[in-house]
Amino acid sequence: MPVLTFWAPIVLIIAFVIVLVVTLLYRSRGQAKFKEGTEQGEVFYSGENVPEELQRHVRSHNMYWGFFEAMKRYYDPTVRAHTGIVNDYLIWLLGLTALAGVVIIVADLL
Amino acid sequence: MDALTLHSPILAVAIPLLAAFATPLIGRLSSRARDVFVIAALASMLFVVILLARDVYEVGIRIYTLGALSPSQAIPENHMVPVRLVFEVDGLGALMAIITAVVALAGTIYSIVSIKPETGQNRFYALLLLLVVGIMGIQLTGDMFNLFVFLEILSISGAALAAFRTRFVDAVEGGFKYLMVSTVGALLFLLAIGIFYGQYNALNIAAIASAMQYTVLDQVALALILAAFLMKSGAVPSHWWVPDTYTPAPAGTSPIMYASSLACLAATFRMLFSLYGVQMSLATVGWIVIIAGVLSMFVGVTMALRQTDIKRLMVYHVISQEGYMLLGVGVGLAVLSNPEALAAYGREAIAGGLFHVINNAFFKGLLLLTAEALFFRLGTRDLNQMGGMGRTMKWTCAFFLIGALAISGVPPFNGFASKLMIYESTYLFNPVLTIIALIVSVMTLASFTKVFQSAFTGPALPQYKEVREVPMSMKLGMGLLAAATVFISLFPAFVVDTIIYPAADALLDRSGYISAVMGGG
Repeated sequence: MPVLTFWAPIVLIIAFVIVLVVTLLYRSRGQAKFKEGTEQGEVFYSGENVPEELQRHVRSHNMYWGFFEAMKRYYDPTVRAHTGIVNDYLIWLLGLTALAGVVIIVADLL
Repeated sequence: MDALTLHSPILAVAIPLLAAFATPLIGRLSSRARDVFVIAALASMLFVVILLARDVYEVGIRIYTLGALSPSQAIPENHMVPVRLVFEVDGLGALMAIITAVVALAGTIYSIVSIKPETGQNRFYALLLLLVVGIMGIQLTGDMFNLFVFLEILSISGAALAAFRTRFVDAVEGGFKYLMVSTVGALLFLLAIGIFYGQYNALNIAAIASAMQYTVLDQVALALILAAFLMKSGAVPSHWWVPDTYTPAPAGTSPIMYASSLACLAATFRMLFSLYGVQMSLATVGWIVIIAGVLSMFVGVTMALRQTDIKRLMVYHVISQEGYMLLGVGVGLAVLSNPEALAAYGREAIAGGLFHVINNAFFKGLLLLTAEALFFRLGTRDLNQMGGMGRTMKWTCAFFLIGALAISGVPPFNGFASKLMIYESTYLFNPVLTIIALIVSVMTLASFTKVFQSAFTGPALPQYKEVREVPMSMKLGMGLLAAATVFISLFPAFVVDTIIYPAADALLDRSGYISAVMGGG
């Protein structure tokens, strides 16, 4: 079992627990002046008024916008190919069958 | 106990089959009694599967001949080949049976509450059990035509389950599409069976394998089988139906339907290794599988990344993760006739691919259930409408994190362990494949970060302030798969040694598979 001999998740978990305990100890020593329920616990928004919950949450469609723009030349044809039409699905299936058949037979002849 | 072990191959199929027909009758008496009966039937099936697997790992390949005086008598007196139905269970069959039994139990426990709002629950459970029959039968049978029959049972029950919530238009459409592509795929496979029967006068896989000449007709049959099973397992470029069908399927059925795709993937491996083996052009077929794997990984993850429907996003990851399995096993197939390469990395690649199968069955099944838990409570699958659910659905959030970290290959989770095996072995074969696999893993993490950020973090949204955690049975269903994921994460070496290497070795030992039925081993 050569691949897994060096991989011991238990060791990693023990290391994680040690780091967690140290972090919690360190955290428990911080900011004695903090009072819960006061403005100290409010959201800090660079000094601006904090928007309502609905405006504050970054929505799914806003994420990775730059990546999709950069990959437009890949995404446009790929998304277009996903037509949702079952006839197209069957054409792909039969096309794949034919292609696999030709490749397998020709490879055996060579 | 010995009798139970002796008959375990047929019991693993017969228990859910009989339960499927008894369930509607019991359901007429009491819905509570029906729920208990279905859970008890699947728990019994899991018990029988564990007995069977233990026997296979201790003794070796199990033969079970239906209708024979002794179940181990595959070939009747005065005959040259098997003429009865034969179940043949080796390490691969045992692995897939364990996966099926665990996932079926978890999905059904989850369904007890999640399906309550729907009408026709008796039919639902009957169909669900028939789906389990189809999956289990595909894993255990040693007969080509029997495999076709189980494939049909799987397809029909799967299509009916996908379309079960008929009030959703996309559910009916998804079920129809699944039925269409499954029918054409099954006909391709039937044509291949006809080719074999015409040439070799046999339907038993081992009998055909022992007589295999790899003629042009066999090559045509290979193309038909490859196309049919790769389509059924959802590999690119015949994956189109997968998001349409799996997305609207009822909550608890999602991981079981995923297990059906994995069953078809395992059937592909069975055909390639045990039926054809070294007689075919290994480099060509190996590279066909590898290319299908790489395409599945990349197209699956890139399409997942841009989805805003949480279930559809996760379903595209079904395609992507199957790419890893195809990649690992494809590399092993490509070097099958090269003993040095096989020993150096081929066996490891196959084991990595199979390890990823069991890991995915559990953590991907878990993720699909968490998506349905959100839908159950919020009434929407749209990530743009979600936010802050980590505050109120803490258990679902915790289960999601376990599944998301595992599928993204973050240590110490089991997804990391199986991906590491695939990376290391494919790197020795072709480093470019490893680089692609690594990029796909990063994109997987990005995709699930998006889901976590959109659904679970952020401020508590006013419209969901009254939302509560899902009921206990749904938590139990998710908990079972989460526990399985954590167990494998903690003890990967134990799992690999106990059930993965025997499965990989079963694929490599073609002569053993043949001689278990035909004798002469």
